[in-house]
Amino acid sequence: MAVRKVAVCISLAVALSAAVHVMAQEPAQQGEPQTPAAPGGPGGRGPGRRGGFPQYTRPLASEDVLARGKALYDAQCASCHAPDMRGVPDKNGPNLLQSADTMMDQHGERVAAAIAKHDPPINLPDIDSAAIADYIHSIQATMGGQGSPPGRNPVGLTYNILVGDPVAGQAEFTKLCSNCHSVTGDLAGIATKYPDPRTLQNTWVGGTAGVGRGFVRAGGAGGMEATVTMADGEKFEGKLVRNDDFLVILTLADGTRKSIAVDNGEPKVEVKDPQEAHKKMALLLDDPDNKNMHDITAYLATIK
Amino acid sequence: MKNLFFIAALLATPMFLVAQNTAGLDPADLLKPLSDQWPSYSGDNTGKRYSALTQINTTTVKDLSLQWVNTGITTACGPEGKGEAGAQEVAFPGQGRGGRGFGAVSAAPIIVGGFGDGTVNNCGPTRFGGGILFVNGILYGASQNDVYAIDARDGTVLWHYYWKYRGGTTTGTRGPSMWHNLIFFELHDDWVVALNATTGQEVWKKEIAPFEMQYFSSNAPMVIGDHVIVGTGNDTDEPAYIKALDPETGEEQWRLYSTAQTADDPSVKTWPSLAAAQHGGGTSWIPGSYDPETHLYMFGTGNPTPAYTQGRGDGDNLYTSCLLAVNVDTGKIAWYFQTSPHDTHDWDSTQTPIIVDATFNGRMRKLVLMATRNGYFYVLDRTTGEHLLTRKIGLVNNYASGIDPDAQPKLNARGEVIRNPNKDATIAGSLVNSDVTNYPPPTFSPETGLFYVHETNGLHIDYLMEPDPRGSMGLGGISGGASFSYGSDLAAIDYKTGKVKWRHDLTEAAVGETSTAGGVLFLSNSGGIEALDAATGKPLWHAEIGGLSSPPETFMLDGKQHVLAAGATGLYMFVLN
Repeated sequence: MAVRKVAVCISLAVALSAAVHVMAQEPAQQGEPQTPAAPGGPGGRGPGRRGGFPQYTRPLASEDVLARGKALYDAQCASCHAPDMRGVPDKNGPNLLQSADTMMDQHGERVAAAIAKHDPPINLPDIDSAAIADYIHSIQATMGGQGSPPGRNPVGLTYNILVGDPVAGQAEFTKLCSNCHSVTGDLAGIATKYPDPRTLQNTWVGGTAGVGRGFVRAGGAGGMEATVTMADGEKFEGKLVRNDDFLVILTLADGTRKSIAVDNGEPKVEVKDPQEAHKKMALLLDDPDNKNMHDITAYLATIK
Repeated sequence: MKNLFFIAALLATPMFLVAQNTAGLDPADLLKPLSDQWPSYSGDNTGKRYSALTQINTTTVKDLSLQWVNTGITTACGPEGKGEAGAQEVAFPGQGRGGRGFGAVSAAPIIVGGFGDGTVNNCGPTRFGGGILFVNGILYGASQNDVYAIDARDGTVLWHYYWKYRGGTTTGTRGPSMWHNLIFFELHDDWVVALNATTGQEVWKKEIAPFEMQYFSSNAPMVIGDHVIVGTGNDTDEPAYIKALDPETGEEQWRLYSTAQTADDPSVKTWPSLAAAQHGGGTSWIPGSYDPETHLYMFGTGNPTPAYTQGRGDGDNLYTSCLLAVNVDTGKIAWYFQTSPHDTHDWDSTQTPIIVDATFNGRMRKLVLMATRNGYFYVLDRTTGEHLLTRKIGLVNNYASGIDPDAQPKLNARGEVIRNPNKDATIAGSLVNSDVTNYPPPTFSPETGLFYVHETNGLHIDYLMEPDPRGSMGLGGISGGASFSYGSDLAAIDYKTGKVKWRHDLTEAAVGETSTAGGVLFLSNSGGIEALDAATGKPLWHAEIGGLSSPPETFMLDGKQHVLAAGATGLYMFVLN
């Protein structure tokens, strides 16, 4: 593909993000209430994350009641609805965290009614059903943003992301990376510097970790070096402040600003995008199985 | 107290209540080509956002001038809407406090509704979202919890309806809608209100969905004849549906779930279990388009849930990420087209479909065009759902094909995209494109034959963090890694081939576009509102008012064509004198 004019990236700078911000819809608008920060774990009190949904704002039962509710839940419910309440599909046990009976329940009344008509029958006094409801509410209070379950990442699992072939990775590295990088030069010891393979992969793909020459740190908006060539051949060089259909603004070497009107693409603005090499690399790196990326990661993981 | 005065006026004047159903906007006007007024989210039933007005054209657009600006329209807070009792104040972004709409000092009556105590609402500058209606010289616009009637001649706020909300998930509103003298609006904590367009007083209100189940409602109600169709969002996998309501009473006429809720629904076969289908997502949060000949309402459904992980079997997960055609009288599905079968990337299909009568492969066809979040452009026969064209858009779109813009994916027998499952989030990481387009509405010009839609071009690594075969919930279970932006642009697509004729770089976040018979395309770019030549993309005019918060609109007032732009800095009315 053709390399895109990169000027538009001044406000869309490449970033190495710890987490892609996921949103089914657009984020809340500026000047409107944002979702408050996350609350504590089970047994937490007071208003929680995401403003007013009752799961996060209702007062929770005492520790004694919650402990009793947990014991009852583990004995009576967990085998079919799972200890984490997310259900056991093979036993036809639905996820209780998102069931209408637990979401709509105020003080155990709907949970008690559901238990009363449960098939197979469960005989529990209302006070015990209420304790189970209280315990379920305490777990719902820890659900993550936008519907994710409590404990966004499961505990106790280790992920092996080193699935690639280091030998193939070395060949691919030579092809894609060796023009600018060397495992005996700027990347010497990279696996020691980044012992976590996922961090290693994000770092070398993104090229934003500043490990030696050639790697560049992700910039904020603007700040890229640019050259503007006027119709008479005069050139201005500086850091971009702004570059759109009508105006280009540079900060010149002496610190002054130069504003130049743009009319239908004239004068020409050439922008040096520090990420350009890695953007091109990523296009060449891509394959339908992600194999090239995984292979290079496996290879770099041997560069200790 | 002013509010009591208005209520008293309503009660004491039965003729007033009768009048509200005959004055205002005749719903038949929503079926007329977009021209002098802007009476709905898209302007007319087709979703084209193509205005027949020609005073402003490629020659005259440079002469647009500012008729008025109101930087003082504010949201309300506190128990009375005046900002007392612990309500939060938000400062203006360095703007003057001109205009007559400013919060507590406004002369406009504040009508208070809602079930909160006002402490969760913020007082601050209003950022209008979605469509702003222009009917009979009055603008009707809204932000999440506030609805306004504004004099289109000078920007004066005539009334301000304030909803004390209970919190919960907050996104951008898609704006109000109108039927005769009623203004409908969805509140985020899941009510729809009908307001008297003259006074702003509540006429009726209905719960759309239970707030307790974490629904959030931001859609613009879709008015079709004597139906008001509302939709609601949800991120906790609760059943997704739209409802048609009686415009006079709010009584439910029919309800359509996006996924099977009972075992006898044939679409349940596309899920591993009925429970998975019931909690399978597919929310609807953008108005669709309507074909009066077939009585079909066409709209998009959201992503399946859990969005990124296992738990949904291997089936297509109908009817999530679909374009649905629904008979507006019965609420029954006539046909569907799934834009992302078994979606695994949170790529909903809620983008506005556009109804066009145009030639395709040499003969006149009744078409529906759509560009969806997964980065594909589709042409269908809107009477039958027959697939005519599927083509990739975006510069780095690799989730179903090679990354080259010309590489095309395999399609199933229905013409739907077959994804590459290796580009799902994986434990070792998957290098995949980001959303190619999203909620900002596209526009289609019959004059140029071009479909204009914004593209964002990005790659990122998706890591699967929840390998449990039950899957995660909602949008959980993944983590993002390195990401690249290749910029964003406006793409002008030839509907006959799906090929991009030209692209124009964007420096502002897209909010949607409007095209006109004058050959002009209005959008948010270059630090404010910008006009491009619709044929070539050449920049013609701009006004630096800051990036827009809702798509630009155009209409006639006092014999002159106007252009309305709403942004973080205020509401701006431009006119060609």
